[in-house]
Amino acid sequence: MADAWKVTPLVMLILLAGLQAIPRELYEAARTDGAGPWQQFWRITLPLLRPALTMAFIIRGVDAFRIFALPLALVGRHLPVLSTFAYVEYLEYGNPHTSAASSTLLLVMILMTVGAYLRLAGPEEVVQ
Amino acid sequence: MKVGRGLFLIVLILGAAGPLYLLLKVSVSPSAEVMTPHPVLLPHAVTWRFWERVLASGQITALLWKSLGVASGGALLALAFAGPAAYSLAHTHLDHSAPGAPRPGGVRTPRLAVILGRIYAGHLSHPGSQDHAAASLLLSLSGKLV
Repeated sequence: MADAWKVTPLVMLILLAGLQAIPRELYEAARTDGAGPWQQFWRITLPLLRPALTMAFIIRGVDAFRIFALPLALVGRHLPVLSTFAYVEYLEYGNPHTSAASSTLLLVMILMTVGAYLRLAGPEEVVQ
Repeated sequence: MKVGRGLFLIVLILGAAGPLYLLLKVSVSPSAEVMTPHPVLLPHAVTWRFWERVLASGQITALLWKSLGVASGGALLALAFAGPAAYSLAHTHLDHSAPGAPRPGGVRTPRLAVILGRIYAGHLSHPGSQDHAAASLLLSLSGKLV
């Protein structure tokens, strides 16, 4: 939750850039055809905002995967994530090998998640 | 021109892949190869002992799920917070005819986004920041908006 609030401005700016890239003429044409605000949102805004949403989700997701300072500072070891595990292995147990192995696992996990999301979002989003 | 571009690509790939290679190498090298005053670049011996220790620790599945949960939840929450804010900001229309209102072309939402973007990116792009990629993305976005 704290991390989500921390990065809200960044995500908002990405989404704002995406929203401002949508041509106003589309809304005017939709209004002329009798579309209401909800129809405009579902039929124009959301489909055209999907690339920006994908980008924001991926940037945020990758960033959130590797957080360790925030959970360590807020809840200590009660919320161990993979990055805090790697950190503790290296600094407290003095084992760079297991730390490197767990960090590599984290990298693999990030790559798999981004790949899965891009596959779910559709290839046209990747092209855009 | 082509040589320069090729060299640039090589440097870029080495710069990106170098740290990953070192990470992987440390994870599969015996301690004698790492804890030495002159570590070698190519591993002479490969051991999977440390990987086995991590995988057999019994914590890794829970840690992976927790990382996935934190990342997905954080990203979705950030989208939920930022989505309505961005939507309302993008659809804000200033009434220029109102008394005291800014002139058309004065203060506009896109300009505000550019200023905010540059301030945010400027703060993030200092050395050691964790958001270099996001900062450069924002800089390019704000450049396009001008």
